[in-house]
Formats: sequence, structure tokens, C-alpha cells
Amino acid sequence: MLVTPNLSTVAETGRLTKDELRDRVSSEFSVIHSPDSTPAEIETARDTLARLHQPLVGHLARRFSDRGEPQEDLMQVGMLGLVKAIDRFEPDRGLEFVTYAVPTVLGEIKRYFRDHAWAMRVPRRVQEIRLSLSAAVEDLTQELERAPSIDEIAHRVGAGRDDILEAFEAANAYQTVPLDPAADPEETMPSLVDQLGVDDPGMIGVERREVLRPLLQSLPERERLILELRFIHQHTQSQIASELGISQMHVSRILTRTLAELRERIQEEPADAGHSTG
Amino acid sequence: MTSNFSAVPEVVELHVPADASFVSVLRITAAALAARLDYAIDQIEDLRVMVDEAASLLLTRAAVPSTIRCRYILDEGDITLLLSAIPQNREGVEKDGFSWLVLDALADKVDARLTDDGIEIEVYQKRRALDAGDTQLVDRG
Repeated sequence: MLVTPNLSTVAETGRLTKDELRDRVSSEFSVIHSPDSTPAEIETARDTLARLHQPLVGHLARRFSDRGEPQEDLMQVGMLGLVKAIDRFEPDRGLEFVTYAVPTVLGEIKRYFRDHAWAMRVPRRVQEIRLSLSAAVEDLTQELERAPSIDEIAHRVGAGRDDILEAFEAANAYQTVPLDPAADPEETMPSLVDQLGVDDPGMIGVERREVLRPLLQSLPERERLILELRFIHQHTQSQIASELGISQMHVSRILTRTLAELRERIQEEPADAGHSTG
Repeated sequence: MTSNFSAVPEVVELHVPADASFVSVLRITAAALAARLDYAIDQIEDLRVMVDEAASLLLTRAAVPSTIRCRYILDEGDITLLLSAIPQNREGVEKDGFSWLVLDALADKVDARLTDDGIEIEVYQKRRALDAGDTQLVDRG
């Protein structure tokens, strides 16, 4: 990993030095933008430019090699970005082509992750991973008879190591209000997020948390304590019942009622606190 | 949501072994700090790529075994990365390679220098407003 080929790798294609390459790129672009060029000449110039910069695309694609997507796919998407850059580049602006190409190729790769792999937004992807995380951890723990490593989980979920770390991090990010701790293996109770019936889990961003925090703080002492025991400390309903000296049914009723109240109030206070990312 | 930027620059500093397997630690830290500053996802991705490139440049030059020191300076929402290492010799950072090229294209400012302590790469990234749109459409010319 972390190979750093230098520009001579680009140049190798035509055995060019860096300066010769620069000249070559600029002359290909003048062919593309000349009114005298035939369509065939333009096509050849575009191909040449694509071929010359292919190693650069490879370099960029490798930067995303630990995200659980096939390298060939990333390469193909990157090449698409390169072709777009070639078509949109305006040499008259005095910018070097590579300076324009790098963000365009990266933009295309990011778009690919967003549309295909990340399903719209990274938080959603993290969210999805988190949903499959607890099941994967549980399965692996049983199979291996020990706690699995990040790599083992990444392999099982089909994601990269960074994604898994982020998903864990996201699960622990807001310790005062963890909205979605990993599912309790002892009790198949949905998380607080599920309980609140928020329509789109991908939208549970900072904005929702910011709305929730004051709502939780406004709850009566006992209700808040029960929510905290259930969702922060992940005690089972029966454990909470014996801790507070009330029946499990009573705990269940309080939880249901409190969650219903919260749900109602979160809908009364829509996205004022959030920004319009969604 | 209001982002609460500190009035004075805040500095986070990490020292990791000069080994490729530790680069992800630097990368994840950068992403976490950028997330904290409410960076758009696209820009966080750019930042990760830049950490990769800068670290990769240093790794090819760092003495073995040695340490890579990474300082993240957060100033009014902008991030400056200062990565340094003890080099094998007193040659400067290679600026012909892809890594430098990518840094140059993505960063708002990038610089490499030899210091008394070794070799240092500075990458400055300005925080872009969340509604600035896709970086792909942003012409940096």
C-alpha cells in the first residue's frame, strides 16, 4: 500500500519527461479545441489524454482501496471522471490540467460511493453498517468463541476497516444521548431511534440529536432515569424493574408512554435546529 | 446548527510509528476532527486523501525506524495539517510525484520544507460552507 509512483510513471506511456508530458497534454488539448480538427482527430487526442493520465487515476483509486469496493470498479469510475475532466477542461483559464483533473476524478469516485456503495450519504452507510454490526459481532463471537477483531467484522460485513471503526465511533459518539446503541442480544428490543419511529434512519444526524437532547432533559426524573437505564446502560426491562422496585410491566408501560411523548414532540419541532442537508 | 469554533487555535497532536499501517490512525483522526467542525462529507473525504498523500510522502523519506508527528491545527473552522518526520537524508520532499500533485490540487495551500527537526509538510484546508455544492463543480482556477 501507499505506493508513490512519480510523474515518470505517467510519462512512461510515451517515454516522456515531465516537461515533455506537459507539452504533450497542452498540444492534445489544442487539437481538441481547434476548429480545424476532424472528429477522428479529436477522438484520438481524447484517447491519448486518457491514456497518459490513467496512472494518476490508478493512484487516486488506490486511496479508496480499503472501503470494501472492488478496485476495478473504482478505476472505471475514476476513468469516467477523467474523461469528464478532459471534456470540460478549458485550457484558456491558465490552470494546469492535473489540477483540474484530480478534484474531478475524486468527485466522481465520491459520487460513486454516495450513489452506489454508500447509498446517498456516508452517515447512512455508517448507519447501515451499524445495523448489521451487532448481528455480525454476535455471530462471529459465537463462531470464534471470542470477541472478533475489527478486520474480522469488516470482512463479514463487507466493509472497510475505517467504516467499521467509524460505525463503532458513531455508536459511541454522543455518550450523553446515544440514540442507537447496538441491539441488546438478551432482549430483542429495538433501539431508541427505532422506538421513536423516525422515518429515515439516514437522517438521524446531528440535527435530530440536537432536537432530542433538550427534550430528554425536560422529562420528569423517573422517566428520564428509565430511558437512561434502558438505552444508555442497556439494562433489560426486568433489570430496571428490580432496580427501581416496580414491576416489569410498569417499566414497559412507562417506556412506551415516554417514547410516544417524545415522538410527538419531535414531530412538533421539525428541522428548526437542523440545516437543510436532506 | 451553529458550529462553535474556538476563538483561539486548538491543536491536536499525534505521534505514530513511521509505518504505513498507522496512516489510518492519522486519517481517522482527521475525519473525526473535520466532522467535529461540521465539514461537508465531500470535504472530509478530501481531507482523508490529503492525509494519505502527505503521510505517504513522508513514509518514503522517513528514517526507519522513526516516528511521524502529525499536528492538526483547528482555527476558526479551518484545518492545518503539519506532518513531520526525521528523514533519511537532507533531501527535500519529492514534488514530482502523484502525491504532491494531488495535495497541490486539493489543498488550499501546501508547502514542504526542511526544518531543524527534519522534514515537514504543511497542508492548509479552508472549511467550505455546507451548501457550497459538489467540489467537482467548484472551479479552483
